[in-house]
Parts: sequence; C-alpha cells; structure tokens
Amino acid sequence: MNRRSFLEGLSRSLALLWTGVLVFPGVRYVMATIHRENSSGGTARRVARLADLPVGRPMSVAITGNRQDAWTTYPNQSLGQIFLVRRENNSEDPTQVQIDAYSTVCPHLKCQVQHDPAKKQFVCPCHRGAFDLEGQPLSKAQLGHDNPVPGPLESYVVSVVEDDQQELWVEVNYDA
Amino acid sequence: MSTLLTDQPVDAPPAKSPSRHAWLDWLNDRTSYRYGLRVLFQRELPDGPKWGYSIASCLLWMIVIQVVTGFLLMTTYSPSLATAWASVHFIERDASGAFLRGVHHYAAQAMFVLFLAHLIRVLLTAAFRAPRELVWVTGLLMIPLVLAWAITGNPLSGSQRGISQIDVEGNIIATTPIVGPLLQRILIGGDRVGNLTLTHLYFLHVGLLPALATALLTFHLWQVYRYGLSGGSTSRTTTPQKYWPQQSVRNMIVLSIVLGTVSILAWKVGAPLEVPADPEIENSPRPEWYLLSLFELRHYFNGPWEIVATLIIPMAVLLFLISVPRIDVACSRRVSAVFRVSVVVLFFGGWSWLTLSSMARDRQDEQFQASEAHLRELSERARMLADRHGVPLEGASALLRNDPKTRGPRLFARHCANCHSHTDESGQGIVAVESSAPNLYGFGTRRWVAGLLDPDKISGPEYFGNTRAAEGDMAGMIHDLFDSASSDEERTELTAQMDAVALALAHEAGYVLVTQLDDAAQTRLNEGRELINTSCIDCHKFHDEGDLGSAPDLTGYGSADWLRGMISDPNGERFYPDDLNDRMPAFHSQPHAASGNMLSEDELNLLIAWLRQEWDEAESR
Ligand code: HEC
Ligand code: HEC
Repeated sequence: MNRRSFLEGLSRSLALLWTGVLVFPGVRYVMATIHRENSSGGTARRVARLADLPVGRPMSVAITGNRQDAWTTYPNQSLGQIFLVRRENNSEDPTQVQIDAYSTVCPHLKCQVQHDPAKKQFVCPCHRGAFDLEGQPLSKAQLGHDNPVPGPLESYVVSVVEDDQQELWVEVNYDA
Repeated sequence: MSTLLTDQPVDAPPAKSPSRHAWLDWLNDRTSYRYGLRVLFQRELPDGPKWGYSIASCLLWMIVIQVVTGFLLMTTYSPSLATAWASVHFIERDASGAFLRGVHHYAAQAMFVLFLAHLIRVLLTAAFRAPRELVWVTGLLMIPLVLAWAITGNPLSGSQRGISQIDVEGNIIATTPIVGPLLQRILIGGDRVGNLTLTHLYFLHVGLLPALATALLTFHLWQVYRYGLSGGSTSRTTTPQKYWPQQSVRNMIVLSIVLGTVSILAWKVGAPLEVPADPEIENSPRPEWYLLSLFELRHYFNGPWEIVATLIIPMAVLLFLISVPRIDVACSRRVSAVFRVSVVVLFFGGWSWLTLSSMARDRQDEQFQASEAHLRELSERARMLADRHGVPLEGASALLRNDPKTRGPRLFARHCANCHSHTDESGQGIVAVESSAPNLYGFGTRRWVAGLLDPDKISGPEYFGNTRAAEGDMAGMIHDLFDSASSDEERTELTAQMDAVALALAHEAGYVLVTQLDDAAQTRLNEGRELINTSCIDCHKFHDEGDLGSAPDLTGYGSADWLRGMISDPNGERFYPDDLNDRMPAFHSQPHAASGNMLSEDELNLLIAWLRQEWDEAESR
C-alpha cells in the first residue's frame, strides 16, 4: 500500500465512521416511534364490587385511568369498556371466585362488541361477528353465516381483592 | 467508490469513462456528476494542502450536522410554552434522542470555537486580500447571523433559563433607537414572553435564519471556489497539489477530533435541560459562554449608556473588521503584518478578557453559585417527576408547582416563618424570623409529641416557650405531673408512659400503622390510648371521650385533616377557641370563597403534604 492509497482509505473510513455515528442514532430515533404506544400503563384497576356482579350474565364496566399521550398525562380518562363474566356464585373463599374479563373491541375491525342476552352471545354489529360467552368465535354451523372474526376476544387477568373496609373488589389488569 | 473519483484533469470534458457500474454511467450521462466531484476534489491547491483550511471545512460540516440533527429533533419538538419543555424531556427519555440533542447542543458550541479560529487564521494569513474582499465581508456577516441562530435556539427548551435569556435579549433589542421597541414586541409576540414567543423563536431558528445563512454561505463558498483557497501572503515555493486526498485527509482528521469531542460530550454529559419556566422561580439569567463577553460589557455601561454596550461597540467592532482589507491595502508589508497580528491580539484578547472576567465574577459570587445549585436540584426533580407521572395538561411548570417538596418550603417561608421555625435535629431548615411559635419540623410524629410531653422542653423555644401556652394549662399539667414524681424511677416511668402516649398520637396522625407494629409495640400503643383516655380527656376530646372547647381535639391529631382544620381556622371549636389562641392566624377561613383566603385550597394541601413529608422521592441510586 502506498502513501496515497493509505490517505485515501483513511479519509473514506473516517467519513464513513462519522456518517454512521450520526445516521445510526438518527434512524433509531425515528424508528422508536414504531414501538411507542400512547398507553395508560398496565396497572391493576378496581372496576366493580364483587357483590354487584351477577352470576353467568356478562356485565360491561368502564375502565378509567390516566391516559398518556406522548409527553402529556390526561388524568381520569375513560380508557374503554370490558365485559366481566362471573362464573360461579359462592365458594369457600370469595377471593377465589372465577371471573373472566374480555375486551369489548372486536378483533376483526375494532368495532364495539355488544352482549346479546337472548342469544347468549357477544355480537359485533359491524360485520355480524359473534363470540360465545367464553369469548371464542362461533363457527359457521352455529351461526348460519360466515363469521368474519379472526380470533377470540382479548382477555385480561382478573383478581378479587379486599379493601380496608372488608369490601370485595374485582381488579382487572388492564393495559391499553 | 474508486469509480467516483478518477484522476482526470479538471478541465477535461465530462468524460465517458467506462465503469463497472452501468447505472452510474447512466447517471453520469444525465448529470455529469463525476465532473462535479472532480471539480471539488481534483482542484489544484496552489500552496499545497494546509491544516488551516481544515478549520473552515470542519465549520461547514458542523453546519450540516446542525441541520441533520435539527431536522431529527423537529420530528418531536413542540413549540409552545405549555409543551416545549415536555417535548424536549420526551426527546431526552430516548437514548438516541438524548444523543442527537447532545450533538446539536455541543456542535453549536464547537461552531463558535471553529468560527473564531477561522477568523483568526484568515486575519493572520491575510486571506481577505483582493480579490477575496467579498469572501471576507460575507464571512463577517455570518457572525451576527450565527449568533442569532444560537440565541433563538437556546430558549426553545422552554426552561426558566432560556425564557429569562430571551426576556433580557428582548430588552437589549429594545435599546436600539426607534425600531428597537417595535422589534422587541414582534420577537416576543406581545408584551410578555408566552406561547407566541416560542413559536416566533422557532420560526426564526428553523425557518428564516437557516434560509439567510444558506444564501450568505452559498455566496461565500462560490467566491471561495471562484478565487481558490488562499494560502496567504507568504508565497513560499510549494508544489501545487490536488485537494484529494492530501487536503481531504486533513479535513477528516480535524473533523474527527471535533466531532469526537462533541460525541463524547453528547453521550456522556448530554445537553442540559434546566428547570421548566415558571416566573416564581428566581434566577439571575446568564447567557451562554460565547455571549458572556457582551454580557460583561454591559456591566460597564448603565442607564442611558447601555446602548454603548448593546449596540455601538459590537457594531463598531464589526465595521472595523469589515474595513480591515481597506486599511491593509494602505500598509507596507511590514506594517500590515504588525497590524494584522495586533488586530488578532486585540480582538481575541478583549473577547477572552471579558469572558473570563465575567466567569470569575460569577465564580466568586456565592449567592449566585448557591442559586445555580438550587436550580440544578429543581431541574433534576422536575425531570424525575415527569419521568414518573408524565407532564400534566397545564404544562411542565405545573410539575414543580404541584410538588409539595418544592412548593412547601416556599409557602412556609412566606406564610409561617414569621413565627414558626422548621428545623431538624441538626438545626437545618427554615429558621423563623422571630421564633414565637412551636418548631413544626416533624409535627405530630412520635418524636415531636414526646418532646411536647417532656417537662424540660414544653416551655422551651422549640415548643410553647415563646407563646402564651408556656404558662398555659397544658404546660402546667405536664410540669405538675412530673413534679409529683418523688423518685427518679417514677420519673423514668412517667417518661415511658409519655412515650406510649406519643406513639398513640403518632398513630392518630397516620405516621404509625398498626399493621407494621410488632406485638410489643402494639401493646404499647394500646397502653398509650388508655393513658390518653384516663389523663387527658379532662381537657381534650379523644374520639368518643371528652369535650371540645377547652383544648385542641386529639382525635386524628396531626393528620392531614387535623392540620387542614388547624391551619384553615385555629379559632374553630376543635382547636383553639375563644382566647385560647395566642396568635396563630386563620389562613383559609372561607372555604367556599374563591379569594380572600391567605392560602388557597391547593396551597393548603401542598403545605400540609410537605409538613407531613408526603412527596415523591427518587429511588436512591
Ligand atoms: C403570627 C404568628 C404565627 C404564624 C404566622 C403562624 N403560626 Fe402557627 N401557631 C402560632 C402559635 C402562637 C401557635 C401556638 C398555638 C396557639 O397559641 O394558637 C401556633 C400553632 C400552630 C400549629 C399547632 C401546633 C402547635 O405546635 O401548637 C400548627 C400546625 C401551625 N401553627 C401551623 C402553622 C402554619 C402551617 C402556618 C403558616 C401557614 C402558621 N402556623 C403560621 C403562631 C403562628
Ligand atoms: C388541664 C387540661 C389539659 C390536660 C389534662 C391535658 N392537656 Fe393537652 N392541652 C391543653 C391546652 C389548654 C392546650 C393548648 C395549649 C395551651 O394553651 O396550653 C393543650 C395542648 C396540647 C397539645 C398540643 C396541641 C397543638 O396545638 O399542637 C397536645 C399534643 C396535647 N395537649 C396533648 C395532651 C396529652 C397527650 C395529654 C394527656 C397526657 C394532655 N394534653 C392533657 C390542656 C390540657
């Protein structure tokens, strides 16, 4: 390698290095928005008193919490609705009562799913999607027409907790 | 790469050099880009390559970097007083964002160093001589432009420092006769700094000034290209050489040194984000270091003479520099050299002297240093709160305004410290102007109450000493109680009983939670409650026992609710009714009135939370 090609190589390498030092964080910074969610944080929220929940009949409850939009925190916003389905009445230990929580957002095109008490189904008014009370999509045979939904309703972790006044509350781990 | 730069003479026609990359040939056919590159890189340097040229090249690259990082920051930044700080903090939370902002911050400062070095080199080598006068003039005109560019950038973070800087800078502009006040109004967007100020500054920073700078710079570079780089007056016989790679490698090395320093600073130190703008925060604004000389100059010219420092001297220096080529022409070679060196020494020396004396002045000013340290603490706290809770809707200034740890001491100093101290065991804290009421540090805690129930302390300065209650029923009762003890054992026993009472009262305040006590402590707590029910309810009310009216209610003593009642209206039945109250004022006696209270509802809550030491603390690192 002669002196000239060494100098050429050095110039090019340094130019490349500094371009990289700026382009790499630049690209990463712009890409960071891809993973960014205007979220409310995944915290457990008390959504209903256990005593208010009927057995077997889904109840829709509102979720409120702080909503985070980029840098701003909006306190006490409505974050959405969920269905609570209490499966059983009594057990020895009320904190062990089985309760399921489902999203009210249809996995098809994000319409608001409703409960149809007559048919004992969750139905989506937009494209006639339907789910059973376990949140599973119904088959064509059960429905009599095609079911457009791609999968079950999203479900959340539920627990029953007792507060200082010995009141039992349903707590849902909701992150959206 | 090698096809990009082939060794062909500059003046050769756009050659159809065969290449391995057919599409590059196609591009070259359409654009003759290889010719353009050759023009740039195969230029002859009549005086050979020089390190001095690299300064200018580096300066140019810094501008490019500012534009690139600036564009990236623009993707997030939101210019208004309510959102500026929050959006910058948001950028800072992302590691890449923090790095890019750091580069933008430090590269701006590097630009000033390089600018100065470039100016000095041009003066020393007499590179301004004919036919390059216009290169010189356009370069000098870049000085105010680049300064304005930086000045409009600093306040964009919406920090208190930046906002007070622009306030001062607005006032400086206003010293210009006739047009000054109008310009100030236009810049600020009205009579006070606000949302519009930041939008105006943003427009200048990313719109108007870059456009002007580009125009000026394009002309400057075109002139440089037209007349070639000047090696200076010393025409030593050097062999002409090509720009590539001899000069390029020098440029790259200088760039590496500068950008390396900038990157390390950006990565390790980061750009500062000072406390969010809030008029309540006192600070004495200082400009950035590269403007300190002008700041210092203003120390020497006051009142009607201020304009000398703000306008006349800077303009005179600029005009003098512009006329340097004319003066130089009239000098002999010898005189010219002396002249140019003395201009450099005077210019650079004056600038350094002013800058350093301003720095020294601040370093010796203990009050200034303390206030700077305090501001740093505040900014760290604001950032911690924003990390944890996000920024409230009202904007970043609400972070600290709603923070008990920040607002509490200020409210206390303003409203309570006429009479009360708030000093801990070691005497640190807020000392009363004239201590005439109990020290409220740790009010309601076990330690505080135990002190009140101590015959040696109750009538001392930390408690009722400087109030009428020093001779009151409570003090009398404690003294009698301990005086009645005949032996040391009995006194020790009484002290132990009073400690149990203190524990019971700390429980009322919520400082002691039953669930956190072991069995022994729980027994002690019950013993304390029992003692209150036997020996205190003659005068005090305690839950269902005793009556109000003769002494403060001990139910929930020291709790937020108790404090709210006491501070709002100590003359109420629950506290110090009738002539029991010595001097404690009522701070919020009209709970439903929007005004007319010494403390608003919010202030009251902040003060109480602070007295109870209920605030967010950063996790210990
Ligand atoms: C003009 C003097 C004065 C000012 C100002 C004052 N206080 Fe007091 N404060 C007293 C006195 C004297 C007492 C003792 C009780 C009494 O005699 O009324 C007292 C008692 C108290 C008590 C009851 C605790 C105790 O040790 O007895 C609290 C709590 C209290 N003050 C809080 C405050 C707060 C908070 C402020 C500011 C918002 C404040 N005070 C402003 C004079 C003052
Ligand atoms: C003889 C009546 C009397 C008895 C008995 C008495 N106190 Fe008091 N206490 C008072 C009075 C009156 C005050 C108000 C200060 C003053 O004017 O002396 C007071 C003030 C206090 C305070 C301070 C209130 C404040 O503003 O912060 C505490 C705490 C307290 N007493 C606790 C007790 C405890 C505990 C006992 C029982 C061990 C007790 N007191 C017994 C009359 C009494």
